[in-house]
Amino acid sequence: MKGNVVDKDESLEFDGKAIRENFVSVTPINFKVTNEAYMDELKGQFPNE
Amino acid sequence: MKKPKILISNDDGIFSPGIRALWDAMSEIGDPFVVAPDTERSAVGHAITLTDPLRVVPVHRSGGFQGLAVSGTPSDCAKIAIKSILKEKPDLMISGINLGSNVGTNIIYSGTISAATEGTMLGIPSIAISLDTYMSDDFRGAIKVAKDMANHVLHHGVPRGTLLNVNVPYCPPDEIRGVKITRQGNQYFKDEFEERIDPRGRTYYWMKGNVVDKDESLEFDGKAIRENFVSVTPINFR
Repeated sequence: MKGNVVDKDESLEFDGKAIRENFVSVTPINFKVTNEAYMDELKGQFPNE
Repeated sequence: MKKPKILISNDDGIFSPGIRALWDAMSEIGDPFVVAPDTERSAVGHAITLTDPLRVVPVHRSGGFQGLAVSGTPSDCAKIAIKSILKEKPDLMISGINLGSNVGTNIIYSGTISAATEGTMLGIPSIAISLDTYMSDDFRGAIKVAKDMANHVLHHGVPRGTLLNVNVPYCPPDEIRGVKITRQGNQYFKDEFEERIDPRGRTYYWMKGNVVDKDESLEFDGKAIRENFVSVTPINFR
């Protein structure tokens, strides 16, 4: 496997852009991965749910 | 009408019963193409192989099953299939059928989910499917669910960056109570390390443990399958 980094983020709110601009990037992350914004739409696709 | 192209992978390996069952199921609704690890790679998470080459070997099993065995992880399989092997992007990727549920905190370790996650990252609508037992050759319920969910995603799609984590209860198909759209719950393994002595007198350790699941609401994945519902959790990593 080989490849190249692709990073098109142009805002300093993103980690990669921050370090490219010589800032220390600190990102809080967690492991709750439910797509909450999609829950209602998905429930609507299963009317008998 | 053109059959959908369906990429299949897993973490139990290309010779597992679950991937065979999934291939049978997907053959009924589309053109399945299997790219899976050459041996079991359970709980490798989203690991990819950087320091070794990937060997790809054709595999033929009874009943017309054929696929490619890769000397890498589930994420490697999804990546090499979509980026290099397949001539065109598949319409769907589905990973499984895993032996053992993938719910709660444990999904972080899952190679089954990571294969589907890699598919998602590469723009393919993707599903991970697991059966809530570690030892079974009865995939009847899971096969029906796999077909239903594959048809659902082919028809409705999923938001970019999101995959469906599907867990099937282990019970006779007619005892499955329906589908619950769930959230990732709080189930986890309480790990222990059993200390043993090898034949040369050296100490080694083997991880074991028990599932801890205190979720009491059907809004959570683990509770839903304990109550014989199919659990469908939309997950993303954004």
